[in-house]
Amino acid sequence: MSDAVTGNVTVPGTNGLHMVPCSLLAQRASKFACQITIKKGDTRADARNIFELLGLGAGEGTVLACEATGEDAGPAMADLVDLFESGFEGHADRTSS
Amino acid sequence: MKLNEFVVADAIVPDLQATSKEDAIRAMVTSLKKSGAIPVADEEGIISAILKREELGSTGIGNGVAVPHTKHPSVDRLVATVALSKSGVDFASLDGEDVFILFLLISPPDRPGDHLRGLENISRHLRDQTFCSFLRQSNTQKDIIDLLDEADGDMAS
Repeated sequence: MSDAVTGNVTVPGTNGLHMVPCSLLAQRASKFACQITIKKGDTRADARNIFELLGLGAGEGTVLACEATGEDAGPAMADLVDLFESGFEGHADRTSS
Repeated sequence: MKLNEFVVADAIVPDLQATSKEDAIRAMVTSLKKSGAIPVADEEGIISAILKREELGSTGIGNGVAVPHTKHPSVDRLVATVALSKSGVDFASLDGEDVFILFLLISPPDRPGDHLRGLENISRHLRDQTFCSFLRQSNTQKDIIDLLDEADGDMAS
């Protein structure tokens, strides 16, 4: 079954996709059964893998293409978009890291 | 941005003796101070800032790796050091495992892009099991610098 859901998100916060948002993202992605891939250009990251997320080096305003594949892909993508739109619940702007 | 452009060679700790998070961070910052990369007067402030950052969530991100870091006005460019532990450091890592490879970063507050590029660079290398394996087998500052040089070359090609 290939229930692929795609979407674009924009990286919030002046610090970009640094370690705090990457940790939050990986934790959130791990709650879902589906496979979530995040792409910056040709560079791909498994949303559960902090090393790969940090390896995107995505600065503020970068548009990332997301794809979720699996039975709960829809809810996962909705959750992912919410997380980016919330500015990672303010963590990205509040912390110094 | 290459590893050896921001890793301070003289501050590398090839045989970290600390087994706790605070002692490990303290040893690495002290090593940066001794190398002249950070001002003596800012040593304690930097240690406090890094420990405060750890309270938000451990930078022990799995695979036996930790990347403690902070932004601090005492530096005008990204500086970092590497420490290797043979016995492991309890870093309250996300995967619950001890840490054997530590990269500690200090970046200027007004240059978030440099900080992100430093993290990006380090993460790309540290997800490579072969790189981590060779790093853990290194015993001297020179071994580590040579390995970082080699990794920089691979990334450039």
